[in-house]
Order: sequence, then structure tokens, then C-alpha cells
Amino acid sequence: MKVIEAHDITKVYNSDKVPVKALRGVSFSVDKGEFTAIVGPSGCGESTLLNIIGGLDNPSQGKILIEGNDLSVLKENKLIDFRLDKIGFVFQSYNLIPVLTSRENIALIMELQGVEKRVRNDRALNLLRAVGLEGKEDKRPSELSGGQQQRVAVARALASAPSFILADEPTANLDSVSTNNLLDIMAGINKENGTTFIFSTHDQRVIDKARRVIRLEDGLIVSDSNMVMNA
Amino acid sequence: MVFLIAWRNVWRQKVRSLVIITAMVVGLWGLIFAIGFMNGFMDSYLSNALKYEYSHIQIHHPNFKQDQEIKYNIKNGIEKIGEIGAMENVKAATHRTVVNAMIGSAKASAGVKILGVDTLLEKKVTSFDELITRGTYFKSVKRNPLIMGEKLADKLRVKPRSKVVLTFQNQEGDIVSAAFRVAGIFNAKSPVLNETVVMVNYQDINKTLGDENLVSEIAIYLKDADNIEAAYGNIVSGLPDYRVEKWDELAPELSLIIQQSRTNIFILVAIFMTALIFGIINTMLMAVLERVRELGMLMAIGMNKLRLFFMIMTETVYLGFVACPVGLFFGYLTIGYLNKSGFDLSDYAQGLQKFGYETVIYPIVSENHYFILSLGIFITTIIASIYPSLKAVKLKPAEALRKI
Repeated sequence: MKVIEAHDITKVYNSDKVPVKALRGVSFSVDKGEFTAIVGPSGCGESTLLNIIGGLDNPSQGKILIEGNDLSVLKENKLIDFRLDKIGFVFQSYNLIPVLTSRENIALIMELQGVEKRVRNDRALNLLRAVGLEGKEDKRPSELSGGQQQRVAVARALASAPSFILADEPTANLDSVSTNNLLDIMAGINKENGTTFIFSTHDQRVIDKARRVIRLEDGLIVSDSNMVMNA
Repeated sequence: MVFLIAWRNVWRQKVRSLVIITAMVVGLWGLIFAIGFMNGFMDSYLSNALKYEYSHIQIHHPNFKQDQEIKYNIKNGIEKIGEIGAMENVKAATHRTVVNAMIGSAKASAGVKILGVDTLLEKKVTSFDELITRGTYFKSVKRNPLIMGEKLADKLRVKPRSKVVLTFQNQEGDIVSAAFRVAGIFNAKSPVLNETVVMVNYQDINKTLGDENLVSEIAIYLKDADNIEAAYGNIVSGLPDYRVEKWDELAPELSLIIQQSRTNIFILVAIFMTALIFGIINTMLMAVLERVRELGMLMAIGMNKLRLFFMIMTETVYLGFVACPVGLFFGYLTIGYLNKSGFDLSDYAQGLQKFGYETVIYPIVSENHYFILSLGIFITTIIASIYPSLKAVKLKPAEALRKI
């Protein structure tokens, strides 16, 4: 089953009136349960691609289908609701809410979905257990290490039971121990639950763990380990 | 959880939040004091004017106001006092004979208004006996006693027991004169009373005028001034042929001053609230702009714009919720204390007395004012939250997430 379908995605930024082509007609698809890394040199367009897949940015041309739904036809608030239900995000800088505890950070997304308080608290605790942070539920982000914060972010991304998780350089700010720990957790979740993960990364350790690697250069897919090539 | 995030965000930058909360508390406190002071000022001015000069309701012949002649009098006026005094909410009623006259002493003369009063009833209505500073209230002189204000006494260069001559027209239009002796000198708050009014026993003046039952004016003092309308209605229905006026009709300038005072309070509140709006906008804008990435993240993970708007608005309203009770509490304590002890303005006594004001003010703030101020703070914070909230919802998640 195809979770993501990207059709001829082009993105042009008009910074200082000089058009910059970040993506030049990128097409690929991701099936359910994939553990995919999008890689390439800095500025190759991988973050832009992730933003477009996540519905945070619009392509200048082309379209993205998530489970068959065309994101370009969704109005802004519908798109936010769509993101809430279908997409989990893990950011490079964790982006947890500093005034909330680990449990509250995870439960917030479920509250936005309208999940009952008791259910969301139980689920938040289970997710914290799943990412190895049992006993840290009442800690605020400032009381956790970078690796622990990123694990909370993964748990938060999983909380809404999304169709897939987009992780933008999730290990960029982590040491090697935390990186390996996080990768093991994500790989385990992918294997056990069949959760689809898509990363953008420059980190070889992440690339090594990925079962599929899409390489971007100058806004084009230059290689795809699934052999779906884009000219 | 939006409420929880908003509340915790208030205390995220404690110093900044405390600065704006303190500003709101001090501002509110000052505002309550200013309102209390203005109210106290006007209250003392009004109560003085009612107690010593106008009372709550007066009755005249319909033509008396245009031409203050003794022919425009109230028939059987003295008998009516009993009926009026027995009416509900009437504390006391008295009758007066009003005559314009010239007063002459051995040294000077002046134009005055003579009030021929029933000395016992008069002091129940106007409490003039309390204002006597020299001599007595009609007691120390047996024949034709008279009391007058300090200013007039100074002008005529008279003192208690001095002889003065009043000259006026009788009912036939003839000029008549009568000698009176100063029994007492009063110090009324009203410059008009102090300079242009003399009081004599109504029997003395009526005898000279040629009609012992002459009544030009009936003055009524109520127990509860807030229920003036009911008492007014009763009196009007009982005396359909006469002109019955409430104090604000008798002294429109008094009503105007009070209206002006209310306007001043409104302007003061409006200035405070406007300044507060800008102060809050500044604080909340800083709070939004330093959390751009966080707000972008919230939108990215699925917080819709309405919720985000509401969260920022709630955060702003919380500032007011913290500041408002504290400000009201300090204001309430201050007003409570000053309402008992009084706020002494003796240093400005000369100027204040000139305009009929008290030198010790007892600030007062009604429950209504506290409610309006609380509501005002709530509305102000709502208004102040709109711009920062709009700023937040206009963020584009992808751009916001890139902010450092």
C-alpha cells in the first residue's frame, strides 16, 4: 500500500527576486512500513522535500498524495487536521514544549485529536516506556538530555498513530550513544508496528540503518536503493 | 491543556510577566485611588450642597422662579409641612419665606436674600446650626435675631449682637425696613450662602411683610436620596398646582459638575486602559516573537489556528487575571482606610473653601466601579491579545521552524 506518492515535485524559492530551484521534478513513492532515508549534500533539497511531504510547504509544481489524498486541494485548517491525524514529525532540535512535562508533551497531540484524558495519559506512559523513558514522565525537556528529548519527540510523533513519521535530521544534535539508541528504538518500532519512517539525514549511521536510501543532488533524485530513478 | 500551556507560559519569563503585572497592579491601584478621590470630592461637595443649601426637593409657586416676589407663595404652606413630613422616605421638611433685600450695617451695605425660617425645622433640614462659628443659632438674641455668613459679616464689618437693618418690599409693594440683631455667624461651604444669604425667624419677617402665614418655599430632606423618584412622585401628586423640583433641577450646575466628574473618571479609565493595551501588546509580542519556532512546531503537529489564537489570548488574559485581583485588593484596602481616616487637604484649604469643597476628602469607590474596572481589565486584555495572537496564527510552519 502506497503511503506517499510524490509526482514531479518542483520547488522554486524567489529569494531576493532570484529564483532558486530547490527541487526539480522529484517523483517517488513510499510504501507502508518502509524505513527510508533521504540523503544528500547540504542544500540538496531534502528538508524542502520533507516539508512538502509533510504539508508544511507547497510545491511550485507537481503534487503529493498521502494515502491517495492530494494535499494541494486541502484548505489550510483541513491540512492542519490532516497533519494531526496522518503525519508524525520529529525535528532536528526536538522542539518539545519547554513548559510541559514529557507526558504532557506526548498527550498534547492526543488532546488535539480529542482523545479522552485517561486514554491519552495511559498511551503517553506506554509510549514513554516504548522509547525507554519510563520514570521520566514528569520531567520537563530542560531536565532531559538531548537524546532523551529526541526520544520524547519520537514518542510524541507516534502518539497520534500517524500513517508515517517524518524525521528531519533527527540525530544531528545527538552524540553517538544517543544516536544509536534512538535508531534502535525507531527501527524497533518500525519492525514491530510497521510504522513508516522517512528521514532526511547526513548521518552515515542513520543511512546504514535505513532499508531504502533516496539520494538527492541539486534538487534531483540521483539514486534510489529501490531503483526508482528520476532523470 | 491549552489553558495549562498558557498559564505556564505566563511564568516562563517571570521577570517580564511580573513587570507588566506590577504595572497593571500599580495602575489599577492608582486608578481606584483617583476614582475614589474624585468620588469623595464630589460626594462631599454634593452632600454639602444638599445638606446646607438645596435639600433634595423644593416646592415653589409655579411663577416664583421667574420672579422671586412674595405674591408667588404657597397657600397654607405651613400646614402642608406636617403632611409632607409624614410621607414615606421624608426625613424632614421645612418652610421658608424668601425675600430679596438690602442689608445695612453701621459700616456698609449689601444686597442679600432673606430666608425667613422656622428655626427648629430648618436645622432638621439644612443643619445650619452645625455651621455657626461665632455666636449662636438664633438663641443669644431675643428680638429679631438674624444669622449670616462670615463673608457677609466681614463685608458689613459686623459681629454677634451687631445691629443690621433689612430693607425690602412688602406685599403692597411698599419699601419697609426692619432692624435685626446678629445672633450668629456661620461658615457655609457655599460661597453664595456665605456672602449673600441671611436667615431670620419666619414670624419676624412675615409680620413685617404683612402676612404671618406666608410661605415662599418648602424644602424637603430625604432619608434615602437614591429613592428620590418615589418621594418626588408622591409630592407631585399631592401638590399638583405647585412646582416641585428635585435637586438636579434646582441646581443644574451641580448636576453638571457631577456629570463632568463622571466623564473625567471615564476619561481616566480610558487613558489607563489604552496605555495598558500597548503595554500588554509589547509584552505579548515579545512572548510570541521569541517562540516562533515553538508556535511553528505546534501548527506543524496539528494545532489549528483557532486553538493557537485562543492559547495566546488566554495567556494574555491570565496576565490580567493575576494583576486585577491584586490591584483591586490594594485599591480596596487603600480606599477602605482613607474612607475612615480621610485624606487631608488642609494645605489647600483656602482655595478649596472658596469653591465650596471640604478640606478633608473621604474617598469612596462603589461596588459598581470595582466591577466595571474588572470588566475593563478583562476587555482590555482581550483587545490587547488580538494583535499578538494574529501575529502567531499568521506564521507559516515551515518558515517558523527554520527560525533560530
